[in-house]
Parts: sequence; C-alpha cells; structure tokens
Amino acid sequence: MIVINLDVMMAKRKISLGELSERVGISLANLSILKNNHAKAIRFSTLDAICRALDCQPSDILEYLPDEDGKSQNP
Amino acid sequence: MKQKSLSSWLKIAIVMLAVFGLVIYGIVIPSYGLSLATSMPEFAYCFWPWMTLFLLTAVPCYVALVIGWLIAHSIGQNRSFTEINARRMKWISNLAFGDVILFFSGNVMLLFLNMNHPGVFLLSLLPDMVGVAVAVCSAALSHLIFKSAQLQEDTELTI
Repeated sequence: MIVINLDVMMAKRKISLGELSERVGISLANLSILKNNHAKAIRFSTLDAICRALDCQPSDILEYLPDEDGKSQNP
Repeated sequence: MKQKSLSSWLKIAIVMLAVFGLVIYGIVIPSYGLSLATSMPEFAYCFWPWMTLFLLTAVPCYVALVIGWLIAHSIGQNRSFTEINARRMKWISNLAFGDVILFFSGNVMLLFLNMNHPGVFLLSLLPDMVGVAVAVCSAALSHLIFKSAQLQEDTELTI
C-alpha cells in the first residue's frame, strides 16, 4: 500500500495544514483527505505543488509498504 | 433540466401514478368486477379471489413508488450517484420481479381452481412481461448507478 507521510514533512518544515493548503492552492478538506490516507489518487500537479511548498522530493511524501496478505489496502 | 426541477417533476409523476393506481385499484377494478358478478351471477364467487390477487399485486407497486420518491429526493439534494440509490433501484427491480411472480402464480392458481379462463391467463402474461421489463431495466440502472457512484468517489478523492 502507498502511505502518505505528509504530516511527517509538515512537522519537519514546521508548517500547519492551513498554511500548506494556502501555499499549495488546495482546500483544507482535500488536504486533510490526503494527509489521512483517504485519497484514491493524486495529480502530478498537486504533488508538484506540495513538493515545492515543502521543499522535498516525492519519495519524502509517498512511501510504499508491502501488504501482509498481498491485497491492496488503499481506498 | 436542473436537478431540483427534475426532482420535483419526478415527485409529481410519482404522486400522479399513486393517485392513478388508487383510482384503478380502488374504483375501476372493484366496480368492473361487481358489474361482472351482477351480470353473471355464476361467476360471482370469483370476485373476491381476483380482488385479493389484484390488491396483493398493488402492494409492491406502492412500495416501489415510495422508494422512487426517496430516489427523487436524493436527486434534488445533488446525491444522484450513491450506493444507497443503487441499492434502492435494486430493491425496485426485486419488487417488480416479485410482483410478476405473484401475479403469474396467482393466475395459475386461479386457473386450477376454475376461477380463471385460458384466454384471460394468456392476456395476463402481458402485464407480466411489462413487469419483467421494469425489473430488468431497474437492475441495469442499479448497476449503472453503482458504477457511477464509484467513479464519482474516485474523482472526488483524486486530490
């Protein structure tokens, strides 16, 4: 499964969700969906904006974790 | 057509169908049956079994109208493509199938009890076919609504 480590990067950069949503241009609700791993997909443009706002690489935000039973647990 | 006006028109159509059904089941069929029983007293014993069959087949129709009202209401609230609407449409399909089975088996039973005529039995296959068509279309719509709900969820959760 793909895990979003947005909260980790936000903590490292000391930036709140509200401030990140303003910088990225995405609503707080959608960013919250992303942060809580409820998102089904992310656009490259969104990933680009988040990486620019947090000054990081996509691998800092996206992490692959193998599932125990071999089935995807992503929504 | 906007969603709210579509929802309103659907509700008006459902109310009209309900009223029309009340007239048919409450006035037309009983009065026609009574006139037949009066003009042909030898068949008067068939009145109540047939009346019971007709009234029993009306119940799934009205339950389907109530479910249709709920679907129309959710369309008005911009919640057209939801899993609950897909389930409601599946319910309508099942009710239609159940109604067809009820009416067909009732006709067969009355035929065996000498309260029916083969010609009437053959004619009764026509509403049965209409019921099957409604059931199949509702099942197809249920499937389409379910798939649309999934697509909408995917789109809404694409950040």
